[in-house]
Amino acid sequence: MVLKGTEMPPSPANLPCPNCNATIEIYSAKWCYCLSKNLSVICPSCRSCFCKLLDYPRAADWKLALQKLREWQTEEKFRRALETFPASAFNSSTVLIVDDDEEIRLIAGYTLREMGYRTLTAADASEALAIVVQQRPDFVLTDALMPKLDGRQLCHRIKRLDPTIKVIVMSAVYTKSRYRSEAIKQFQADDYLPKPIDFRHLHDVLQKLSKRAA
Amino acid sequence: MTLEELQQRFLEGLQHRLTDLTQLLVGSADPDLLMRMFHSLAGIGGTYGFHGVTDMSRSCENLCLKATYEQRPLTAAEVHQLEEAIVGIRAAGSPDRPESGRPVES
Repeated sequence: MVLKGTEMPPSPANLPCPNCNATIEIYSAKWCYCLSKNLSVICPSCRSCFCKLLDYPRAADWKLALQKLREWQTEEKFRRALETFPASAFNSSTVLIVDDDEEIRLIAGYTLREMGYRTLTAADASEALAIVVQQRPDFVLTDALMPKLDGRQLCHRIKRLDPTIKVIVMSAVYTKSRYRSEAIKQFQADDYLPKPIDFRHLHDVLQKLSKRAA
Repeated sequence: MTLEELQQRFLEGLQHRLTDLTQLLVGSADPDLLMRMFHSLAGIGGTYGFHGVTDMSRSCENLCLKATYEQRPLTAAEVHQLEEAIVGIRAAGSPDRPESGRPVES
């Protein structure tokens, strides 16, 4: 069963599963998880993925479906991250979030508070240093690139001030995992997160650093 | 604020950012400034769950980075590419996007 050409499948589109012959309602079936170049569906009965079988045209409409699938996956990550770590687990720790983008400060603050952390925010490195001196947070989550004093200088100064404060640097520039160790070394940070932030990953990092400190 | 309210706030802010980007493109089209703006958008989009915004913004950032690296202004073709990408980013962050996993029916 192969759909080719430029025609879109009819709506609603019912197709028999080539594997178990169950009826698949294309539009309400789950999208496949493998994100191959051909968007496809999973048979609700036998769970087969038909990426290799269905050859739909990659029209803009279908790109939106891919985006929606990714959004759903992100929401799932948020949900799983919050479920994995109960609020009581880290309720004594404080995280200072440093980013010149308010949008990042807001979403990171929200998610960390949902996890049970206390949060502080700073829009630049100077403000962050003042907070570090006054309040001594347990963790600093900082952007790498910021105007005036950048993340690297901020990390160095924090470590000189108090080496026990755990610093996590995040960057949208060095997003490949192979840059991680080099970035940690350059920034004298305790860990590194690529942007966009994966909050489940952030959870794992905070947990790891908490255990190391304990 | 709830997660939904934060996402809604991001989407509203996104439309303003894209308007600024469009104005900059028809104006000075400074590749360095554009690169910074797309860079910021790439980092934020996926953090809020809008990975389409991140993917397209990163492509735009790379295009501007190339011009900056070569110390030249953007070509007419590059400006056109960026304009088209902005339309795509706007669609990717549109509040009217489909609520289910279904494709939009024409």
